[in-house]
Amino acid sequence: MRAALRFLLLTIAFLLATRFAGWWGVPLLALAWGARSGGDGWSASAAAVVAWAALLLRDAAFGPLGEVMLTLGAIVHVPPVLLVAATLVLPALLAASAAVVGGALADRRREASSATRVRER
Amino acid sequence: MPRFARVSVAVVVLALTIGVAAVPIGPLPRLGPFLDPYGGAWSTTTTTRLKPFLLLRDTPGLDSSVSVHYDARAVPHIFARTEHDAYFALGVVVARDRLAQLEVQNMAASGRLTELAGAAALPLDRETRGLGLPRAAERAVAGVDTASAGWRAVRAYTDGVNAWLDQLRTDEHPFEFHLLDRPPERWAPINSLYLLGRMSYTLATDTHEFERAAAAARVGRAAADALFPMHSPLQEPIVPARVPTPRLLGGRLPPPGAPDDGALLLATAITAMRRDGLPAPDPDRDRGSNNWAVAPRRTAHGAALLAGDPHLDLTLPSIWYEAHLVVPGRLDVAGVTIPGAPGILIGFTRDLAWTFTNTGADVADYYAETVDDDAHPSHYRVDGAWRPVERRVERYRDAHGAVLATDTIRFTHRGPLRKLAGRWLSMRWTALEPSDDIGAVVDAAHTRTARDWLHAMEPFLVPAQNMLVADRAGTIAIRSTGHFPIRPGDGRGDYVRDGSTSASDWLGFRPVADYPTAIDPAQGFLASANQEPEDPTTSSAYLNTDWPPAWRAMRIATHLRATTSVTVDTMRAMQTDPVGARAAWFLPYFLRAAARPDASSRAREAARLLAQWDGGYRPDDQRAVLFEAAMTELTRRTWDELAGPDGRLVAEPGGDILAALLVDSTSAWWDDRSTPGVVEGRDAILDASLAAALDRVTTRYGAPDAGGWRRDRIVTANIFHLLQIPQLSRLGLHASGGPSTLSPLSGAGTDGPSWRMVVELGPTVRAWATYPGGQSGNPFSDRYDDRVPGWLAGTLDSIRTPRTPSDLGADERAILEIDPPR
Repeated sequence: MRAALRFLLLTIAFLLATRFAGWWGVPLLALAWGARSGGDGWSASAAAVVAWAALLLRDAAFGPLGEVMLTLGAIVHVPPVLLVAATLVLPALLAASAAVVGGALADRRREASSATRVRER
Repeated sequence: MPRFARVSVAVVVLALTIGVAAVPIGPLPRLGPFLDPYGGAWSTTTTTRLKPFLLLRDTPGLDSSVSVHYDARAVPHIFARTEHDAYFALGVVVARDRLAQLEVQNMAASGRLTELAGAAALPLDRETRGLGLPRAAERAVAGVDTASAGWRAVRAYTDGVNAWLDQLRTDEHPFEFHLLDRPPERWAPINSLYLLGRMSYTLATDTHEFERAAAAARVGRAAADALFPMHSPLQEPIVPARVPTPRLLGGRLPPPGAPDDGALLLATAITAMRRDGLPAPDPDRDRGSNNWAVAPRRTAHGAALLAGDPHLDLTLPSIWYEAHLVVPGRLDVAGVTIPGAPGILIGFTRDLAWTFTNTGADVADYYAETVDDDAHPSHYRVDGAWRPVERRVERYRDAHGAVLATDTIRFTHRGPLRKLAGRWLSMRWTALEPSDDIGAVVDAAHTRTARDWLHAMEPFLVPAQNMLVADRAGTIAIRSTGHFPIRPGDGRGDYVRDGSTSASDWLGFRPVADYPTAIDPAQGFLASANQEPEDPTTSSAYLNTDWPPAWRAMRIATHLRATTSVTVDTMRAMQTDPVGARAAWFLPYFLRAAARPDASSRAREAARLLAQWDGGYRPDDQRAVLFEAAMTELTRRTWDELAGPDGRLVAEPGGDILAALLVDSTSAWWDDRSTPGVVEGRDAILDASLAAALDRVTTRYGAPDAGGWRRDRIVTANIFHLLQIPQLSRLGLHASGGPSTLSPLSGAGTDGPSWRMVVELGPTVRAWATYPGGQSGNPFSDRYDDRVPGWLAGTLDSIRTPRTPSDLGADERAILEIDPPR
């Protein structure tokens, strides 16, 4: 239950990050999440994908998303489904990799600070 | 996976993904912003519908609250307390629906298309800047009377567009901005002047000097003058003539003469012009616009009627945007505006209605200049003294600001100086000189009678327009208004003048009282369709040469002379009349030629098929294709003396020259040069044209009634998106009309009636209209192209003009409130 709530909150955070910082919000939030969670890339990736999928659903609620998809695909000469897939793969890759990097950076910082404490002793 | 390896892979994946998301790959936009489901291309869906209620708070620049009510046709009815606020709100609603159009049009008009389309747009930008259009707009702004009504409207409109931009979120950006991967630019007052310059470029440029020279280089000056005459040989003028019309002026065409060597050099300018992307002579120049008005005594309900349909490039979104502005006690005007131009350009008030067709007057002249340095001129010679050439460096940039090319544009006191076919030519053009066109439109909306409206429109100078107006009192009037130069000597402007003497310069402009004008004519109607404004028996003053043939004017006159009980529906039906006067003129000659005893069997067969045709260019018609092929053959065979080395005509005389030639069955022009020893006459050429046309059409489209000859399989209307994206265009539309019909359709089918309007000037003014598009610029909105089916079917929508917001009643669909700062 607690894990589910945590995931939900993370998803909402990705949603808000995208709303206010655009796509850059995904790797930035994932970096912070990774630093806090010890590099949990899977959760970050899944939450980012769900957040962007939710935003796509919101777009679909407003108007003809299928028509946009077909038209866009024809304009950029890409199968329309691939565009949707790319829209979901992009946050997944950004969030997963950024979370792992964030975790590693946090570990390094922790290690550096504990080494400093050892030297001070 | 070991931790180090895991982190290393993550770093690489992160770097690569950010790279793909943040850096554009090829022509694609940056994928990060593009695919972002909140603020990217997907979010286009969020603006497909108008929100039922939207409030713009604390809007700077507004005097008081403005209420905008959208009706069921998505037309905004703007209710404001001041005119300033009405034009401000017009800027807001146009930006709301047509922001991408504003941007693309502005880029084109200011010569900055390369910033959208890259190097491919360089020729277009070079043309725009080379003509001095941006420079002229800058000079106009520098010298503008900031207190004038026109400028105040421009400023208010600008503030309105920017007020919309200021509150716009990324996810509300139009689709095109996501594709182009750029945010909208802020609007500036000068943009409205760029736009007017662009309209002048579309409507007030011609290359008659060059066409005539090209013809003279082939058949001599006397023949060229006759092929591109000052007066149309077939007269149905705008100002009703004192003699019965339509009429042929008569007179034989002089035979082809010896080539004029003096014209050869200039003739090559055409090739150079085409290579440089300059406007080439337009073989379909009989396209254009129509307007006509009928006096109360000839209408069924005793009220004046007015119809108008300007023919322009068909685009999505449309060039027109429909709006209604109400300022109680001051202004109540409805109709269409062009996004970027503050004001209702064509429309009606509670008292009168007006519309335009293009006059096509010659308002640009070329001068051969003597320069000090043929490669890099810095001075030019006038009256024996050297004058400095003004230079202006133009840089063309790509989307990222990198300079693609740099040009030095030169100007003499006359205008832009360009090297064409090895010769330095300067050009004086009224479009490059200051005028108060917007002020005239703004002022004219206040008038209550046709005469007052004409008076208010006097400052409207460019492009010259045939301005038709009718009022509730029953007055109908038309005037060809523009800036018509007074030239020295013979007064003509259809040849290149000597630039080395100031005696070649314009002496001034004709006074308005001298413009072609007709008010309440005895015939009870007025009509213009780009034809020559006045019959030579009325006025022989030079306005231009090589006028578009009067086919459409003749057809309008035929309809209106046939009845004295014209109705709104008569007017509407006329606008989509599939039959034209051109076919009616030529067809009998073809049929008679094929009926001769010595006619060829193929010509007889072609004539048999054409005899089944009623002259109508309907989508399901199966004979027009043969007639058009015969006309092409006839044109090619008759003017073979004008063919260049590649077999193509270097200059093509108008269809009315050919029509007039038909009367002269033994003219030397009929002779086919490729058959030495044989002298062909008219009927032999008509016969050969018919036979060749039948062979060509059968080869290309199959047997006559097998379906391949259907007009809608051969010619369709094509409405392209402004960025030429096929998926956002509406192509292959089955429309009625042919060359020279009232609703013309020919060639690529990319231009035609852009706004059809009929107004009844009864006790209450009522109007019906449509245009091929929709109010919304969003390609995924229902309102993007919802008017196209009606436009194709020839129906018109009833236009609502509520006096108060509550008058809309159940027709109301959305409200926009714009509040000033508290």
